[in-house]
Parts: sequence; C-alpha cells; structure tokens
Amino acid sequence: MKRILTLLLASVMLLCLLSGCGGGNTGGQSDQTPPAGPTESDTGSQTGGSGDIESGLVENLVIGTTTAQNTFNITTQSDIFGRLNYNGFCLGAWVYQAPNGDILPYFMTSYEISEDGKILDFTFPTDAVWSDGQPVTGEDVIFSFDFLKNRLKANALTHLENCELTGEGSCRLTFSEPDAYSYLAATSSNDHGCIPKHIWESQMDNEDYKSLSGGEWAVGCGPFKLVSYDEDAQISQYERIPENNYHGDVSIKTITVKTYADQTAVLMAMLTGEIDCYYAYSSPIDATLMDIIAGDENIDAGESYYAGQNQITFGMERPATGDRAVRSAILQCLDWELLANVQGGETAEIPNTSLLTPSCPGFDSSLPKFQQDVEAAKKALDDAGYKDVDGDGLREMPDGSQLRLLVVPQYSKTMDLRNRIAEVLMENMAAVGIDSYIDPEMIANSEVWESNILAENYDIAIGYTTAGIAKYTSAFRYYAAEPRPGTTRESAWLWGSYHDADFNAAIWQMGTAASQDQYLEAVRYLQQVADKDLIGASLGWTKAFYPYRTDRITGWENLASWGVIHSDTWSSLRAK
Amino acid sequence: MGKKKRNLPVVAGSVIILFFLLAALLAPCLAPYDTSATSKEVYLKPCAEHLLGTNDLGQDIFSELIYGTRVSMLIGIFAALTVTVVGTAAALFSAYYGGLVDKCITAVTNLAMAIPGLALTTLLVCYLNPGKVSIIVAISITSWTGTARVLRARILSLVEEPFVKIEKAIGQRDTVILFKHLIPNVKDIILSRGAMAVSSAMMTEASLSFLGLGEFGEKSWGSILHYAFFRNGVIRGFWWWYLPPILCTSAAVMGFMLVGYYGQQRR
Repeated sequence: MKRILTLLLASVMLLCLLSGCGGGNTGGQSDQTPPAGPTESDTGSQTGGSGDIESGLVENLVIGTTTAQNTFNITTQSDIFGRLNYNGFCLGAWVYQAPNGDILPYFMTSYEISEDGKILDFTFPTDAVWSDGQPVTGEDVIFSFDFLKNRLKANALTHLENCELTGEGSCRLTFSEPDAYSYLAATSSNDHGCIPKHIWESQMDNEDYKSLSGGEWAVGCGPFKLVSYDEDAQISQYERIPENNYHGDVSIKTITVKTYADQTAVLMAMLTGEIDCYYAYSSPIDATLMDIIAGDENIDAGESYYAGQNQITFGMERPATGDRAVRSAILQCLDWELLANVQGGETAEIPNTSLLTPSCPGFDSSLPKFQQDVEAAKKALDDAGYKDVDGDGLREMPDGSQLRLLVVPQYSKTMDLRNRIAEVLMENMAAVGIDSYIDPEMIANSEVWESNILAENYDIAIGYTTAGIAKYTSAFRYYAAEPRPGTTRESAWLWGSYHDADFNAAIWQMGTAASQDQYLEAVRYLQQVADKDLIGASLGWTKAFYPYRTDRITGWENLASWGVIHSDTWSSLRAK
Repeated sequence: MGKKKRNLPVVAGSVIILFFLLAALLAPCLAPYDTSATSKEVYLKPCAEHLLGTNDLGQDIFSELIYGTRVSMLIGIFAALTVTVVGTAAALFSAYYGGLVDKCITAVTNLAMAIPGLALTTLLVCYLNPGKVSIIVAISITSWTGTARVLRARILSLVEEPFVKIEKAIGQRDTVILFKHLIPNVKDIILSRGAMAVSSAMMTEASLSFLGLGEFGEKSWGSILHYAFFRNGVIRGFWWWYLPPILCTSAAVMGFMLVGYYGQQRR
C-alpha cells in the first residue's frame, strides 16, 4: 500500500514538473518595461486594413544573434538593439539602402537634393507615433538634427548649417558644402533617424548619454517598440507599431531577439527550430560551421558575397615597401588559395586587384585576379637589387642594409584570424627571402597599434573592412592618408600611407559625392589606382552566411553580406 | 640483505618526464616538418605523411606537438625554478628570523594566496607583453605562496631543534645555518614542491595559450588547442587536432605530479 502511494505521489510530481517546463516561457522576461504606448490590441485596426497582411501576419519572429543585449538606447549603435536599428527597427531611420545601392525613402517619405548638392528637401509622415504613444512632430525632426550634429557629433553633418520646417510634414537641410547626398548615403546603413525631443532634450549637455538604457531611452518611432528585456537571459521582445509603416504594412506582430554564447549555439538553436533566422552586424556565420545545418532542408544557408574583407596596406613611404617592385613581388609570392581558404573555407575566392569585393557598388570585375608565382617574385626582387648579399638566406636592401618588414595585424579583441593571416604572409615572404617580424606590443595594445598605424610605422598592415563600411565608403576609406579637405589630421581612420593628392581626393569624393554617378566614378578611379600602384590588396573574397528557416515563414530576401534582417524584412515576411 | 623497494609512482613519473624532456631536446630531429611551413593541404586527417594531420594553415600538427613540448617544458621548468627559489627564500627568512620579518612575509603570503591565481596571472600577462618571459614572470609572481607556506611550517620546527640552537649559541653565521643546515633538511620538500610547481606552471601556460595570450606564432600545446577551438575543431570532429595537446599536457602534468607527490612520501 505504502509503495502504491509513493508511486502515485511520484507520478503526480512528475506531471507537475513536466507541465511546469512546458508553460510560462515568458515568465521572468519582463523585468524592464518601457513606457506604455500604443499596443497591438488598441491599434490593430489601424493597419491600413490590408487583408493580405493580417492573413499572413507573422505572429512571432525569433531572431538569434551573438551580440549582447545590455544597452537599449535609441541614439547609440551599442549591442543588438543598436545594431538592429541599422535596419530601421525601433528607430525611424531617415532612409535605407536598396540592394542595388539606391537610397530609398523610409522615415523621409521623399527627398530631393539641389543641383549644387547643398540643400536637402524632404517630407516626413505626420501620423507617425513614438513608441510611448506621443505623436511625432516637426519639432522632433528639427531637434533630431540638432542632437545628431551637436551631441552625437556626426561627421557627416559637420557642414550642416541650417535645418528648418518648410511646411506640415516637410523640412529643409542646408549644408555649406555639397554634402546632402553623402549624408543620406552615409546614414542609409547607419543609425541616424528621428529622436524624440520630449525625452532627449534634457540630455543635450550630458556627455554620458550613451550609458542611458531601457525605459524611455529606447523610445523610437520605428515600426517596432521594445516591450520587455531580460539582461540575465539575454532576451528582448518587441511589438509592432502599425502606424509606423514607412515601407509598407508591418507584417510581423511580435519579435523576440535571443542572444547566444556563440555561433555554434545559434546554429543548434536554428536546427531545433528555436529561432527563425540569424542576425549580427558584420559577423556572418563562420564558413567552417555551416556543416552543422547542411542536411536540414528547412534551413537556407543565406549565402552571398560578403562585402567586408581583410586587406593589406603597404607602407608607401617605407624604404622597401615604398618600392613598387617589392610590393609586386610580395603580392606574387603569396599563397592566395590558402589565404582565401583561411578566411572563408572552400567557398572563398582569390581576389582581384580592385581592392574591393564583388558585392561593393562599382566593383570592377575586369581587373586581373592575383596568383602565386614564387619564381617570378624571386626574379623581380633580384632584378630590383634586393639580393642575399651575406648568404644567410635572407635578402638585403639594394644598398646592403637589412631588409626586415614590420607586419602589423589590426588590433581587436578577437584577432586570431588576422594573426593567422600574418603567419601565412610571413611564411610566404620568407620563402622568397624576405624577412619580416611582428611587434608583440602592437598586437596586444590597441593604443600602441593605432599610434603606430597613424604614424605610418608599418610595412604591411593587415586590416579589416566591415560590411557597412564596404558598402558605403568601401575599403578605400582605410587607405586615406590625407584628411578630408577642411578637416584636420585628427580625423578618424587616417590609416593609409599613400599621399598622392588625386588618390586621396577621390577617397573623399566618394564620401561627398552629390550623386550615385559621382560616387561610382570615384570608385572606378580608385580601383584603377589600386591595380596600377599596388597600394594594397584584398586578401580574399569570402561568402557571408546568414541562415534562416523556411518552414514557418516566407518572403525572406537575403541581402548580400547583410542577411535576411534589413529594412524590407518588417513588411515582406509572411506566415506560411 | 633485501632488495631496496622501488617507489613505482616516482619511477613512472620520471619515465614520463624523461620522455618529454627527450622530445623537447630532440625536437629538430624528431619533427618531420618545419612548424611554420604552410601548405594548401589544410585540415588533413592523420596519414603516413602527416601522422597527426594538418591544421587550418596546412601545418603539420605532429611537428607542432613536438616543438610544443619545448615551450611547455621550458616555461614549466623555469617558472617552477623561480617559484621554488622565491618560495624557499621567503620561507627561510620568515621562519628563521621570525618577529616583524615573519609577520610581514606571512601577511604578504596570505594576501597573495587570497587572490585567485589564474585570474591574476591572466591579468599580468595581458598587462605585460605576450611572450614566454611574461608568462614565466606572471606565474612566478602568483605561485610561490604554496611553497613558502609549506616550507615555513617545516623550518619553524627545525629552528627549535638542538642542532640549530647550538649553532646559534656558538655564534655561527646566519648564512651558514640557513644554507648548510636548514636547506639540506628540507631539500625533499623543496624538490617535491618544485616538481609540483612544474606541473602547475605547465597547466597555467597551457591555459594562457589556450586563451590566446601566448606569443605570436609560438607553437605550444595550449596554442595548438587554442586554434583547434578557434576553428571549431571539436564540433567538426577534428580529434587529431585537439586531442593530442590535451593528452600531452595531461601526461606531462601527471609525470611531474607523480614525482612531486610520491617523492616526498617516506618509505
């Protein structure tokens, strides 16, 4: 009898335990809640009445990422909240970039640039709302540019002179330089958008505004609003704001963002159906991990050419690498196949001399691809006078002095890949008799690294271009050695060493182009210079993998090197 | 007269240590490839040409493993040497002179023991330039306390022994008492603590290199493991890449621990 009772008791406990595991999955997630605003229930009927949207409404899109969730601040790019705002998520971004590079309206419902490129007229919606329920007004728009220029110190707004309302729902920006197009281009994949005046006007003098997080600081006028977040669980939840349908009716009811420890965990979660897609800015899934999901027919690998890249920059003012013959020999001696494989596995390709990747706007595919030719490299060095005089197996400078190149991988928290690339470079150069070394302090200290790069104290710098930079100012931005006209040498990222005036002017022309044609003209010229003068090289064209599940949701569009989460996603997805 | 009974664990430990010492010394003869030589044959499985396959750069893992023995042994032995010298000196001065000297050294020892060793070592290596010397210095700074405490306890009892008191009474110099009478009496403990310190230092070195805090291009067991994990070797089933350094580290550490632990046990 006692045994039967015990068994019954155990069964009841087991049932209770199982039911406890199954339910209450949202419990504990809403430890922080932003101010109340329009909710799905009270605004659901105002979606524009699109029957298609409502019938195909995605109940909950689950995004997996490896980016942390600790900061929820509409004015910063920090953490996954800031990174998702690159896609006009909770932020009412001004514009967005179409896959072909066109700049399309978003919060700015239309825009027009004057012929001299100094005036930007645009319209904005008068029925948009902040996620706390307040209406978005013209004053908010004016305040936003004031905040972006004077508090956020946006470089692209340096020459903004005036911002004024020209009517209900229309505004004019006046620049002292022809920066109107370049501002839109710069912000099209960035985080500029409308900022609520009633929340942020008190922070104009607060230099620590980036540390504000959650609650009112997450209020934006994007198509989604932050509903809750749990820093411990690294989960946040969002709900749509149907009024803010800048790019068509919002077709996703709620979004859950989950942060995982690493990419392996993300893929495992995708395999089990725990998440629908992966998103992380400029961090596609490592090609070596793709085997994990290879056999699942409900998962699309989300493969595309990656716009970002690792690249080398030669020290153009240095005794050895200042000589084109040495640069050419180095590029000839490299094992390009191995370099490509090291970065992107078997799907990676050997690059051409353009210094760009195929998914960059204006990419010139006619330029020749690199190929290894060790003997030709040796001959080129011999012909240029770099011979092994003392018989130690290493070459000397033509004047007999030591030839020893300083290789400087770009410092970052995780620089294993660039260190691995450096190993290949150094071994390949040693094979043709070029001695090289790494300064351990430069790869251990970001300040030491940057001060040396700015002082052009390198023979070969190994750097990285993110996808966002690659799609706008491209890798050439990192080859600038002269500051943009009108600015000082303190400007950011003057990491190049090629001081040719036309070359540097073309780099800045990309950033200040008044139209896409002007931009593309500059890009074409820069690629020709890269091919002719061999100022550096892309180290491989890799593929980006942003996988997503196809069994529950349809309408995905995989944007090259960006993935399936972008400004179009909020209105293009449909439930199956 | 009966045969002297062998201390089997010590013999086994010694054999293991000898094996790794020989591998370290003869690395250039034993390694079939230059460890820095890259090739297009990446991620090769073990085969006749590459006994333990190749890594992501096409480098021969077997050669890396052999040269890794050098780094691990070098750091282990030098760090242990420093730790033992510092620990012994601290214990001698503390126990022999007593009073304020003892209080100060004991306080420093207690303080140092309260700080998590690996965490402090990691911090120090980050602060110093990456490299073998930095790792040795960092390990030495954090690991001498155990030796100091154990030796101090033993020396405290020794200084109360008649032979030390007699030496003091006849006016013998302190250095003579310390080095001629006290150290020989604790040499077993010093040696066994030294052997344990080697194993501890090797583990720390492997941990630091695994965390990516080793020297650029250095082939140590920890760095082999680091890159095997960086390239997702475990999830991709590249056992020939990540398993050998784990086994080598375990075996070498066990060898020194056998000698250290059983070496101080009296028969």
